[in-house]
Amino acid sequence: MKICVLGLDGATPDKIFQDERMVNIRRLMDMGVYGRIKSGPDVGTIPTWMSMGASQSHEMLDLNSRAIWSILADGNSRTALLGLTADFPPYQVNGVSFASFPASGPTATIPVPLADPDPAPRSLSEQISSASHTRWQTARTLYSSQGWAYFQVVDLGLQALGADFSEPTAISDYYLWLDEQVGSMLELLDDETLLLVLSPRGVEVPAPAGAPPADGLFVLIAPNCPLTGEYSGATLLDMAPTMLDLIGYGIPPSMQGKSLVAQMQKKQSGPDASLDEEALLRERLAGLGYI
Amino acid sequence: MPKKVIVIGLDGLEPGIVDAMLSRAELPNLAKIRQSGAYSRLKTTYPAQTPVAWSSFATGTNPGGHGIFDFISRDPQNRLPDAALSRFERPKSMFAPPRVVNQRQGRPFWLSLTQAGIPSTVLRCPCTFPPDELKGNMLSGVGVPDIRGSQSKGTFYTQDRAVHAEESEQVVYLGAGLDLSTKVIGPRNTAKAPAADAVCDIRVRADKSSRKLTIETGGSPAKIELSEGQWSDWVRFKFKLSMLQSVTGIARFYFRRLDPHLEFYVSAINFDPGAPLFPISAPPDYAKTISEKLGMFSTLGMAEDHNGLNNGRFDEQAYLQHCDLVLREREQLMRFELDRMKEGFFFMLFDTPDRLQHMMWRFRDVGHPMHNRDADRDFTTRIEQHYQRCDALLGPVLEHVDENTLLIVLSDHGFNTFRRAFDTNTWLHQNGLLALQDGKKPGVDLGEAFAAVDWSRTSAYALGLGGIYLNLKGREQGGIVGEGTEAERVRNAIQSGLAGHPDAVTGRPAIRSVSRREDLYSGAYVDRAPDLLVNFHPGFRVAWKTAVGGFANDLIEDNTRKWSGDHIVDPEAVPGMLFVNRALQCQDPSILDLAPTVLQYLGVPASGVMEGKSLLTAE
Repeated sequence: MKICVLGLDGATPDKIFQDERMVNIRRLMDMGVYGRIKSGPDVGTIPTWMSMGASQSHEMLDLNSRAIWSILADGNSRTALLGLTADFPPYQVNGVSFASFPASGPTATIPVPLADPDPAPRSLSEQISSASHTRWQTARTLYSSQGWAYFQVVDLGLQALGADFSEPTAISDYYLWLDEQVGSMLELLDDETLLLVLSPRGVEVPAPAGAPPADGLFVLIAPNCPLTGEYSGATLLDMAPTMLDLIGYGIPPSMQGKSLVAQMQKKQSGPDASLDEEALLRERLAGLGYI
Repeated sequence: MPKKVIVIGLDGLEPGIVDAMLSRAELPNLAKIRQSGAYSRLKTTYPAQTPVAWSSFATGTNPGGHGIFDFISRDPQNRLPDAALSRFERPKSMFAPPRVVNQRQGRPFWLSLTQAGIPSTVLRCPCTFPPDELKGNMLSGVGVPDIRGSQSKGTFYTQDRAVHAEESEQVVYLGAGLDLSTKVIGPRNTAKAPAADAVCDIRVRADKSSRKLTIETGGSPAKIELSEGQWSDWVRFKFKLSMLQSVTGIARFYFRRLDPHLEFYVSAINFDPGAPLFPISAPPDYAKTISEKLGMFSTLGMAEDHNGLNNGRFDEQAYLQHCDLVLREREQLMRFELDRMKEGFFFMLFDTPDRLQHMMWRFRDVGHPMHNRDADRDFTTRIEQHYQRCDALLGPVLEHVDENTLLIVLSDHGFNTFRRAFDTNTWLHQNGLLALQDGKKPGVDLGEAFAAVDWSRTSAYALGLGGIYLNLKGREQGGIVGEGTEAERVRNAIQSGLAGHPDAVTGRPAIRSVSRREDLYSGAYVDRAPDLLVNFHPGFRVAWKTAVGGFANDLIEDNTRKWSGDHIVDPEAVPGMLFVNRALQCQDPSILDLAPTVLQYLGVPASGVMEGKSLLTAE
């Protein structure tokens, strides 16, 4: 089984879990397990995602520890990281890695040719929108290009909009747009995929002065995951051990989090209850008039 | 001045009736168009069916070029009948959402206009579900299902336990009393195991003194009040599929009566134009935008509720009211779009004349088995009245026509009576070409979908509205007829046996001829076509259950349904009609000629695969 992580950095559970218009994410919530992630102190975007990957708190974060993407990139298996790992220059992985937004230009990726040419200067909101479009488009192209053991794309548009462009309608529209991007990625996944939609911490707009980040959220779907519905008490550090557990990897002792499915019997994946094909076809013709 | 082309489709308008009414000066707007240009019969497709003909209109090709041969198709692997216009794709993975795919192939001419940068507004054209990505706006037409995936499935509510569900409907029994709680039935939720209906709770209160029905809808609007014999405005319902997911749909209520039992009806639940389950417009928010500007509208492909009338859930008057509601929505949308049209192409199809003639033909045909039966008033000229209504629709259109506007008004096929039903499967059985298991005899009790057929001894089977397929080796699962001589023998036997087949009761021939697909079609999709097509004489049609792999009780029997007019006969007998505000250079126009005509007028070259020729002289 392979892993696909869709990072919606800055998304809040109040927005994602309450808005029925986010049909793709709500469908995923129905299929799997979801919940809030209690936010920690604001240590910045990159340390937060490194904490997730290594399952280590930022105080304990040891860059020599192996993050989940490195564990899965052994041998012939490859990892793709878009938008986030360590800061510029890009993090070295067996695969491809893009540096964090808004770095751009020919030296911002490994291997180099994946980067877009530097766009003409525009307003910040246009840059955010353009960068996000490019990122998701690249994600789709890259995901389809080969099999990845671990694929991760992190969208930082909400963080950027929340920090520098506090127009509520722009943010609200951006959430819906993000849901569409998630939907477009779902078309590419196969049944042998573990999918994690993750926001490590939320961005409130307007943010109360001095307040810690809002809670983040996760939605996890795997064919063998025994959990469904809402889960309380998950932490960011639990994400990597849970994913490793579900795909049958050992959890390194350096990881501080716990698997949410530890000791649980994994589900046997099997075919869905088959629909009555004939009844379905009969229903489709019902009311035609001519029959 | 930029050029404009306006095409108005009046589905099923019969030229024989139009001729007579023109001669009596009863269609003034059509007469004006004829005077400014031309009026002609319009050759239709084989078969003369709405989705087939309008797909040829769109692509300029015979059905072999667009792949739509009938409302009904079959998968040779299981021979089960299926809706031919669109296909639901099973999700590729657990993550992917279900998708729907338009089965019409070929290239509609509005995509050539798009490529040339010319805008189009295409409203309600059949076989545009899901819609084409064009420059401009598109609203899908015939082919859009209701929220349950059916072509149209309403629900009848009654206190009378003797009532049973008839064709394509649900019956909900109400308890005693006049203050009741019940449910509106929404989509089938197949994500649940076992699958279950998503429902909305409603409360109904009937008042004997005012004879009104008040419904707390649980939707929007929250409360409606109806008199007996009245349709409601649209009500929007929200159906919960799970704790997290829901879907909205819209429906109309009809209050039938209070006595002897409280009875009312809920139309098929249409997709909500504001949030359709699958895309019904291009751009996707076009349907939402026009519903916000003009109000809710029916999104269902077959919007006029013929089932309610066929099943006796309401009378002709209520059906005609419903048809009028649908027509008014279309008229409002057409006027809105024409008012803002500056250039390019506009198309609007009015389906209502087709649906109305299907149900009302028996009143004008004194020889029909259902002539005037059960009618409490005279509807003899109701069809002509509707033609006048269609003519009146053209008044506002003519206001938008100037010297740079090409105006075309057409029907895709004509109409005729449907008195007698011919069961082709019974004929195949009688002639040793279709075998039944365990010595069974043909009859309606054999069900549908060829449940009792012995495929190991069957050479051919009829399915759809006139098609016959050979049980071909290597194509059909377990097929027994070899290509070549053996197949030729079967084709010959069917052609010679059916052509001119007499109806012993009326003394008339039921069938004119049987065509081979290779003589009718060419193009990339011929292999989807039936091997043979039965061309019925006017007055006859394929039997109801034959179309879905069933049998009738007799080879030829009376049509005792209210669905009494039809057009699925020899296409030579039911041409459409064509009015153009320009002189025509061709005396024998075909529906395939319209696409190259529009393209020529707007200065865009016709694609090489188009078979039709422009009807206009070169400018």
